[in-house]
Amino acid sequence: MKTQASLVFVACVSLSLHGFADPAKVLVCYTASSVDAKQAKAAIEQMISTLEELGGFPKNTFAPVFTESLEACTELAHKEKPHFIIPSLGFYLKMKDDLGLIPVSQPRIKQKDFDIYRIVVKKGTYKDLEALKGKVLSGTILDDVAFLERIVFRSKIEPSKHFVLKPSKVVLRTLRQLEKGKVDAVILTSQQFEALQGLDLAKEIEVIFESEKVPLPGVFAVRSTNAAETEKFREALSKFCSSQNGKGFCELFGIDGFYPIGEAYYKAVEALWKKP
Amino acid sequence: MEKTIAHRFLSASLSFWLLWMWVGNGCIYRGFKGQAPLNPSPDCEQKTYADVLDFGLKSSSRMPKESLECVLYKLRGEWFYTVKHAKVACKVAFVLADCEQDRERQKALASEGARWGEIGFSLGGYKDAELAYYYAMNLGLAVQDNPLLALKNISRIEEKLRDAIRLDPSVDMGGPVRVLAMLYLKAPPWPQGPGDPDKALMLLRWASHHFGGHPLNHIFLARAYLEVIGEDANQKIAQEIRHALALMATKNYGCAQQAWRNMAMEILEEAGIEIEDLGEKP
Repeated sequence: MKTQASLVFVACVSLSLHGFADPAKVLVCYTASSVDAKQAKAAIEQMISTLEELGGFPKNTFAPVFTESLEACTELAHKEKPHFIIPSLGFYLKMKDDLGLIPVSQPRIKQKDFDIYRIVVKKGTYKDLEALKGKVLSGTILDDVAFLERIVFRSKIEPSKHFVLKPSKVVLRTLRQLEKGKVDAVILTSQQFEALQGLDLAKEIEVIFESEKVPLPGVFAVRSTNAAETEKFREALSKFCSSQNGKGFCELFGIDGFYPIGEAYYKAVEALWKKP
Repeated sequence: MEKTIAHRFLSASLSFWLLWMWVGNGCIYRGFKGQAPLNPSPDCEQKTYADVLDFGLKSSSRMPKESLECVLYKLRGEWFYTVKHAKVACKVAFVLADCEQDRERQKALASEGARWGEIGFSLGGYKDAELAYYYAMNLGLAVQDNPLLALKNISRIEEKLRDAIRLDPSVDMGGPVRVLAMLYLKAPPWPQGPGDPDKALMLLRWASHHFGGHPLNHIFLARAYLEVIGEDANQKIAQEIRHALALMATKNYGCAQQAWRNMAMEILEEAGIEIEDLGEKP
C-alpha cells in the first residue's frame, strides 16, 4: 500500500517536469480555495502543453508557475517575469498598471461571462446588510478586502469595519459553521451558490445580498510579451475547448470556451476600482 | 438472393464471434499487448486453481513477488471466471502494482487490476467490499499521473470506496475509510470536486480509532492534522507518527515499509518536529 497516499488524490501528480532552458512562464494564481499546488501544477502543465500544440508553439515554450496565495502571486509576477497571467480579478485591477496587463481571453462558464456574489444567512436571522453590522462574515473571497469593498459592495460599505471578517479556504466549512451558528453570514460566488442548491442546507438559508454582475477574470498578457506571441496564445485558447485534449478539461470545469477580449472589456470595473 | 445475404451475414457474424473469442481469450490468456509480463515461481504450473485462489485471497505486500505473480499468471490462464476469481486477480494485481518501481509496469498491472474489477462487478460482485476497494485502488493507481483521466475517474473511485465502506469498512484494516479520507483531503475542494478536508479528518479519526493496528491510519491522520489544523496540532501529529513507527517496528510490512516510513518523516519535517521529540527511537 505504499502508494495509497499518492494514488488517491487522483487530481493527480505528474512529476515529469519538462527539462528545458528558460521557458516563458505562465503564472496561475488560484486564490479562491485551497488546492494542492503539486496537483494543480500537473493539471496546468497538461493544459499548457495542449495550448502549445494548438498555438503551434514549440514544445516546452511555456512552463507553469502556480500559487494559491495572493501575496505570493504579486511576488511571483515580479520575480518570474511571466508572459501570461491567470489571476483573480482583484489582482488584475490592482496590478494592471504596474505590470501592464493586457486582457487576452476570458472563459465563459455555463454561458455566463460574469459572477454574482451573494451573502447568505440562516433563514429569519438577519434581513439585510445593515442587520449584519458587527457580525461575523465568512467565505473564500475575503482575502482581498479592497476588491470586496470597491467591486462587490461598490464602495457602499467598508467590509473590514462593517463585518468581522473570517476568511476561509474551505467553503463547505464556512457553510457548516453557518448551520451551527458559529458564523453569521457567508459570502458565495455564483458557482458556490449554485452548488449549494444540491445540499440539504439550502432549505435553511436565504440570500440577503446579491452583488451586481462582476466580469469573470481572464487570461492576461504582460506588457513585455510580444504581440505575435499573445495573438498565437489567444488563438490557442479559442480552440482549446473544442480540441481533443482540451475538451475534457472544459467539460470538467463547466467552461464553454475561451473568448477573445480587448482592453475595453474591463473598463467599467476598472472605473469602479479607481473611484475615490 | 435473400438466402445468400442471410448466409453471408451469418457466416460473417460467426467469423466475427470466433475472432472475438480468440482475441478475447488471448487478452486474458497470459498476456496481450500492454499487459505486464509475469515471472511466476518455478513450481507455479503444479499449483492448483484452489491453491492459488486461497493464496491470493490472503495476499499482501509481505509475500514473495514470484508467488504473487504465479497467482495472477494462473488466473489469467483460466477460461471461466467467478466473482471470487476476479476479486483475487484484482487484489493481487494491486499488491504487485503497489510494490512495482517501474511506472509503466505499475500502470499495466493496475489497469489489469481495474479490468478484473469490472469483470467482477459484471458477474454480480457489486456487493463485495474487497472487490470494490481493490478496484478503486487499482483505478486510482492507473490514472494518477494523468490529471484529466484522474479527474474523470474521481467520482467512480469515490463511489466504489463508499460502497466498500457501506459493505465492510474492516477490509485492509479500515482501508476504504482511510483511502476515501485521503481522497477528500487531496481532491479539488467542493464545488469543483469532492474535496472536503473536514470530512477527511473525521474519517481518519474513525479509522485510527477502530483500526488502530494499521500504521497508515495513523500516518494519514497525522497528514490530515497537518493540512487541516496546521502546526497547532503538532502534539497530535507527533503522537500519531509515534504510534505508526511503533507498529512498523513490531511487524514487517514488506515493500510498503520504507515508503510509509518516508511518508512519516516527510510529515514530521513539514510540521517542524524533530524525530528526537517523539520521545523514542523509531
